Amino acid sequence: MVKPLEPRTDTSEHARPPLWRNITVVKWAAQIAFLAFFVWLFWILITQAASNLRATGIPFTWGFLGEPLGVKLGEGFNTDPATGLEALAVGMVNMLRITVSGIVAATILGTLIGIARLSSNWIVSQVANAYIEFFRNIPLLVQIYFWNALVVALGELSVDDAGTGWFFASAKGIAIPWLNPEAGRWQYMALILLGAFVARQVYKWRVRILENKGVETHAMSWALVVFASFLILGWLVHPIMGVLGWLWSAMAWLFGNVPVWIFQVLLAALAIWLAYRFIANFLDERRTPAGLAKLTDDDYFRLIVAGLLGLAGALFFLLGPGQATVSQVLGRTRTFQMNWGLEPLFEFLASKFDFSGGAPLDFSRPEVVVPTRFAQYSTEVGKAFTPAFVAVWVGVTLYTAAFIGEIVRAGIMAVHRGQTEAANAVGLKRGQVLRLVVLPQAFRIVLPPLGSQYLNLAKNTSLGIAVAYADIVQVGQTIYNQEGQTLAVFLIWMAFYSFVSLILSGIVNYYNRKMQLVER
Amino acid sequence: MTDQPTSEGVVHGVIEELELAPEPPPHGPRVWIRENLISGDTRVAQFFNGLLTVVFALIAINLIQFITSYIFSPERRWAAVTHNMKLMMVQAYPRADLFRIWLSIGIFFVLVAVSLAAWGVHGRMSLWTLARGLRSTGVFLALVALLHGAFEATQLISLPLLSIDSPTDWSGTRTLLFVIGVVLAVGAQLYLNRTGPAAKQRSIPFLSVLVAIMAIVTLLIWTIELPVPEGQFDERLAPIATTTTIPWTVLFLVGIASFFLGKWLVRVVDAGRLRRLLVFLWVFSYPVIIMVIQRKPILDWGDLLGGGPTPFLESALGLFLSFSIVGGIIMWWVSLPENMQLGRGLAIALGAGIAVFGWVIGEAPTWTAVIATLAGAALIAGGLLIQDRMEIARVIGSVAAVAALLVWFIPMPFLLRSLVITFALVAVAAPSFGGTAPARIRIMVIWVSAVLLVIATFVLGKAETALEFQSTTFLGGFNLTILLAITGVALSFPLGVILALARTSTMPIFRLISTGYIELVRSVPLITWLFFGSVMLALFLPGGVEFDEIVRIVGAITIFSAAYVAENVRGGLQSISKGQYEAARAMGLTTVQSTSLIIMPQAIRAVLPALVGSVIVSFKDTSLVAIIGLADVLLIARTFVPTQSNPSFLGTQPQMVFFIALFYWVFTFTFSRLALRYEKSLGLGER
Amino acid sequence: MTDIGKPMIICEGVKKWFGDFQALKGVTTTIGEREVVVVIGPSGSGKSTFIRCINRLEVHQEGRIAVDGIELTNDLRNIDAIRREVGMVFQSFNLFPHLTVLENITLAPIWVRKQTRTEAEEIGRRLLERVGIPEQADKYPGQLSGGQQQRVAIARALAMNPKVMLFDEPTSALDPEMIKEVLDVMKELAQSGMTMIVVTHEMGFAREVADRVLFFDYGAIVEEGTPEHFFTNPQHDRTKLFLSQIL
Repeated sequence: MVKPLEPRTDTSEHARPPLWRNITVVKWAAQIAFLAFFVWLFWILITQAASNLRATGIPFTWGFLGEPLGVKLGEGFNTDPATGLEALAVGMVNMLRITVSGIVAATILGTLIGIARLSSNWIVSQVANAYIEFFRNIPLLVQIYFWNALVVALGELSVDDAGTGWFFASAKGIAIPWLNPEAGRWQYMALILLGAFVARQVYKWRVRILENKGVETHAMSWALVVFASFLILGWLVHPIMGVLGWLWSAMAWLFGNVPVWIFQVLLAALAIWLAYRFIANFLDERRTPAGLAKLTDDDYFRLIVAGLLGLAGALFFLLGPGQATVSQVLGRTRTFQMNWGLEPLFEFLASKFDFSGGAPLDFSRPEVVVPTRFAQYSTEVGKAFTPAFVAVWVGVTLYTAAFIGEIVRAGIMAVHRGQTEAANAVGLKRGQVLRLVVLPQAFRIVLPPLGSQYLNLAKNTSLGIAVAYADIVQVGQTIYNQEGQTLAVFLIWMAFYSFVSLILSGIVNYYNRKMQLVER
Repeated sequence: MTDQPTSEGVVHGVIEELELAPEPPPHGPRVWIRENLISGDTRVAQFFNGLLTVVFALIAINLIQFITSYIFSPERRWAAVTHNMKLMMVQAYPRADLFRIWLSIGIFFVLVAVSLAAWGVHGRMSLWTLARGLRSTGVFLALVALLHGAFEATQLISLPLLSIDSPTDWSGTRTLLFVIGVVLAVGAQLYLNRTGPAAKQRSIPFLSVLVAIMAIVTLLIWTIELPVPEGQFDERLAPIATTTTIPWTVLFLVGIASFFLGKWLVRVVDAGRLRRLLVFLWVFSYPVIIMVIQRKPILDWGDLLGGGPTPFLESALGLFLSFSIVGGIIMWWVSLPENMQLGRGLAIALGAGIAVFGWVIGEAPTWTAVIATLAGAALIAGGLLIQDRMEIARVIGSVAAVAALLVWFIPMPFLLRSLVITFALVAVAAPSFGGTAPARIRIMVIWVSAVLLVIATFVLGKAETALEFQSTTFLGGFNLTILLAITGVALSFPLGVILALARTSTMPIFRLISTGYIELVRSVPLITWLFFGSVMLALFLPGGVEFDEIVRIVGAITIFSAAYVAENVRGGLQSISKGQYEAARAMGLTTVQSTSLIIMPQAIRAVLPALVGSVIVSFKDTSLVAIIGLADVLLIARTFVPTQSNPSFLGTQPQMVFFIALFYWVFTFTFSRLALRYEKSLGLGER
Repeated sequence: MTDIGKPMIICEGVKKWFGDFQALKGVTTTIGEREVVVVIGPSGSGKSTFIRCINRLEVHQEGRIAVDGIELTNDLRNIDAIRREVGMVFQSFNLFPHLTVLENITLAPIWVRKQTRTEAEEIGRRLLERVGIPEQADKYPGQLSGGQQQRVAIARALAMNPKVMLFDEPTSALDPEMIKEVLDVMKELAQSGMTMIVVTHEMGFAREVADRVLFFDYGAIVEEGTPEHFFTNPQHDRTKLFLSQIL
């Protein structure tokens, strides 16, 4: 029983409002006006910078990347870099060394402290508490200065110390025994990767059996045994991986001789495919049982950008010249083929893989030698760390561990009560409760703040400049003090740190998503 | 509360919980030991737990010994600290004017004390907690005194890093420490035994505890003999620490007096009004302290009354009168409900008109000025052409807010630029908050005080300082550290709020720009932003515009911490339910109104702990300016004192670093504990 | 069919999609001045979306909605005008937790209607008396019970002196013993001649107070009529099914 339509009463306004009252128009006008202002501001700043640079007589250039620097670096894989680019590369690697090893150490230490903080043993929890309160409340820079002063205060080594030992600590740094890589490490690494792959397959296989037959198959133990056997046997038989050398040679030949247009087409197809996968995945995520969910402006924006990027990439690869001539960057003209240096890469790999034997890693103890001057020392075996490295590494590790300790404690507290009681109720022992019930759940809670601590650690390594640790900031500063290219160096810093942050948060997000999936 | 967003600051704020020592033994110490040191279900577990206890006790003892022996070693020259206290606190600040520093601290004390009274801080501490705290302190003191002498017997873990200095003859101090410790511990224990659990019910105001602590500190200042450097030293550089007893005592008494003054004021004046006044004073005391009290500007009435090429415009008084009267009339009219929309448009058109005017009186026409002229003309023409009275502003408002910003790039007196910007900002906000007569009066007051503030800042900033010092700036040492921390936070807060709003906006372009800013800024470490501020910022400024290095560094810190503030505030915004937005909209509030009256107050309250956390972080972060050579407390303590101050302090670097670490620790730790107390009391409030 | 008098709200073919999901499939109805309309229907039938379209908390994509002669379009002025004339009460109260009860009520009159604070507070206190909780004026919402909070929310909406009141399941979030106190306030309001649209599951209320009942299902009005007609002699199968399930 439907009522007849009422006659239209007077609606005093017609349906279309004037432009200046149309909410959609007003919103977009405001945004576009702001964007225009923003772009304009940016442009003003850039032209201003350009004219200021012209006035100082140091025009903006990337030339220093290819020019000799003439500066020795404190440490790194190459302390006497030939060019600015090489120096920056050394700085990047130095930064990554501290970041990666610091993250591992701070995670372990922080977890231990977090657990100790909750210990039923009064003195253990108090010591952990004191640790957290102490390290968290002192600026990291002061801590780094402190460790640096401590190492410097250790005193010089004397001739009496010459010889082999387990541990040396002096004002020139700290030396410890180490596993140093030897020529065979490439084959061994390849073998370990193979082992990881095989172990994974074995794990999957055992899990399949478990699921099909419903019997305990000890999948994890199997996988571990397989991996361990690769690890141990590989030590002896790694020369067989020399066969890969043939493969690399073949690849090098392939990339050197196949016409460039084939790579162009392949790369263009890859770009399109990636964009397609992104869009398809995106739409899949938005799909609900009731059909596709309503896409927001943001979603459309992302889809359009993804599509455009894919298209632009494909066009770039297809219509591009097939080779890029880069003259400015390295100071001298260089031509990059569209196969982007894959040929030299494989040639390099091929040169590393042969059938020669020998241990891949060599355990050695540090040895003090007195080469040129009294009380100077260097170690050719073992591993020696400079005072700067020790100060920065110890500083960021202990500092971050205090924060991680608090995060871990909060994570455990968050799952503690009900879950612990439930676990106790099913008869698990205290250690089992912690290991099987509490920690896995705490890990999920802990992961996002942990990730932001990792990012902080990576950024905090930049304080190494205070003790002249040759990381990317210090190298950059050295360069611009010499060349005056402050802007270029700043852009490099920005790009590098953004890249590292992106990688780190990418890894954390990946695990985070995996964890969240487990939950469902 | 654990569902808070997961940025670093939140974690810092949320996790921290005041962990009191475990409950005291109800059945005596033996039970306590059994439960806390060797607990376990089985014999084996108990054994391992006991082992753990021994190992950790040894570590703790070793560390305590290391630290005490380091502090009390005869090789330490602590005179380097006491003797250079003035240098570390205020660096080159002239001695003759030191009372200005004391005055600044005094103002701070008075404000704190009156505020405590006005907000009626009612925290109480149970005598039980207090007695147990005293007992722990006593035991700790006695242990420290004992352990130091016996170190050879217990130093089982002898790491080379912890090489302990030779024991010294500080038996006098040691005995004293031991006696004090024992007296405290025994006294507290006797009290606990006597009153028993009843002590839990008895409590004293937290403030009394605070006052007692400060009284003890004041007493200590009078009694403790500070170390003096060996040999001869310049009389001019007499250790300032020994001359501060009277000022500190006066300040202490002034603080107590102001508290009672505040109590009296609360009774006499309406509490709400007093609080509003205090907020105002808090905000303005800081610039006044820096610009007027500490900077000691030479004020010449000639500056105010004219002189220079354009006497009237350059005249501060003329500017103040013309801007507050003309602007005030416009504000009055704009804030009338029926004029709101039209008024807003015209107000901004006027701003653009002044931009044009600025070009006319400016030195050289540039193309930006041409655009400004065209924009201004178009706006005014548009305003006249569009007949629909109510809606003109909507068009003009969006375009002209941008146009008003143009003045920044037109050659015109800096002060005039700032006033025009202020005008545009207040005029845009006025219609939303106008309406009734009191509201309109409030807007007038805000406008006039904004003009006054801007002009005063410029006049004071331009005035020469009458201080005599041998340095580039009168700011240095801890004074600089505080300045950087407070200014950085104060400036980054509004910027962060705007960024957070833009990032949560429904408008994609705003969101994109804000997200880009936040992510880019956060991905790069602070030190590179400091380099940016100190070396690169000048590149982007028009010729002739130069800022002091401290200003540039403050700019860099602001850029950086705004991104972090924005992330925290965003967390707060996301924690507010959609219903709040809908209710505000359904009631007819405009976007500006609902954001400032409904959403922001709740969002900020939700993330207050995180924001306090980020204040602590930025206090710690100010130490980084030492790397780029600003003479903050760290740089002075670590570099200046051991190398430049006095030959007898050469080589004291390690102990100066040690001292400065403790110095920062005391501040950060105290602040985070106070924040925690506040956070807890917040939780008990109306939420 | 009752005479609805002067039309207050006119809806013609109102359609609304959430992505692919069509929430409203052409709703056409006219609600007269002083009329009390109760909207019922199974959850997900679009009844909440419908009343949220009336003050544009949701934007309809096709069709026309006019309130008191003002049509809802992209026009900023009309949206502001309609929100001033239409009060809304939500299922989850949506009181502002950082403001006292009185501040909650006086906020919009002060900032939107530009009343003075004293004026607004006087009206606010009168309204609190009307909803029966004058003594709670200076408390915070968190200190009140659910029923009291909802009554504050009603007072808050009334403070703007609206011509139409929308109720979006006002009693669904309440404990059973509090439902009555809210319904009593609503009944009193209906008797005072307020135009009301009420989405609810309270059939007793519908029977007693409503001038007209709209039954929604799958985004459309399936059946409408007076309460007597609706509850005693439903025509449509879906209506019968629904009533058999809830009665």
